Amino acid sequence: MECRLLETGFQKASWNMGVDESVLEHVSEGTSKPTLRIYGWSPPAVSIGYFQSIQEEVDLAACCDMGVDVVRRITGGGAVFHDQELTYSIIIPEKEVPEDILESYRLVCGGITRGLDSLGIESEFAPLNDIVTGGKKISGNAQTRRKHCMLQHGTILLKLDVNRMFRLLKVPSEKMRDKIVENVKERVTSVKDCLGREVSFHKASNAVVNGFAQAMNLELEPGKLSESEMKLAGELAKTKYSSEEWNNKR
Amino acid sequence: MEGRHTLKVAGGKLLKIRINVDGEKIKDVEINGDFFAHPEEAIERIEDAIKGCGKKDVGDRIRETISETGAILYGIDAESITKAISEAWDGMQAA
Repeated sequence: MECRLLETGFQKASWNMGVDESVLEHVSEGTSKPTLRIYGWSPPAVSIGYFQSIQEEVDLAACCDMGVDVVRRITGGGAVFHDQELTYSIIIPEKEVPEDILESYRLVCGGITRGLDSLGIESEFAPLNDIVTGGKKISGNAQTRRKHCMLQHGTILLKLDVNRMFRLLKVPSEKMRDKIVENVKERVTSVKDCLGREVSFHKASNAVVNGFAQAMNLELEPGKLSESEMKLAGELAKTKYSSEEWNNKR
Repeated sequence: MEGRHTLKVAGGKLLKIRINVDGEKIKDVEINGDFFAHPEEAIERIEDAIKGCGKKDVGDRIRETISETGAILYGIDAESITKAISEAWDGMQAA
């Protein structure tokens, strides 16, 4: 299947989410090809799932103090701290992926496991939406289906700072914070922790892109956002993903 | 009166309920958490559908709405939502 490869660099949270939704709209109406996008976050950001309560999950004051953006995704799932990681999104007509949602997660996540394999990290898909290595989570993913399209996005952790993460996320009580942090350190890992050395964003990106191409039989062609996509992404970033109405929806 | 309850559900996901009850009926409810629902709007449909419900009607109304919307839920189901609402109801304090 022909697929556009978009590399949109490191941008702010509202723009990143605006681009994902804009590309979905354009793929849905047939004015853009299926798209694999690779991106990062600058400044670092916390994204929360569609169904999460922002007040319950995020320490908004700490995010403000630390210059961390906060945004609500259109996908479900949990809170994610986007910092030293690679994020992908794949936007594709629904007819090109298994109708069964679990099987579609398996297909897309197969791209990540292949990519990690090429970096020397053996991993496996852990239903519904995780990829684990040595029993520890290294990638989280989230999917939505809208307008006859599937959008799945996710992260691959390049480096991990759990203490910093939990300065930004709320915990049930301060007493539990240390225990929760230790628990997460036992259950989550990163490319650096697995290999004992850092892997650059660029190298990880190449690995993951090749992984997706193989797993999903994609003929990738580098491309750019169209003028129309840029315009809609900007509107969505400004009116939706920067708005209190959207981000504080729950 | 407001009630809240957090329920740990399948796959380690969390279901967090907040309800407001007026007399013996639900005034409004939020079904929050790190679960997945397809389509996502099904959760909002459920939240709307159970407004005005008494405690014993909640489960049936949730099941009906899930059926009407054709919703596919991951991490939660009608039973867990009903249970969490019931727990939130029982633990209610004056808002």
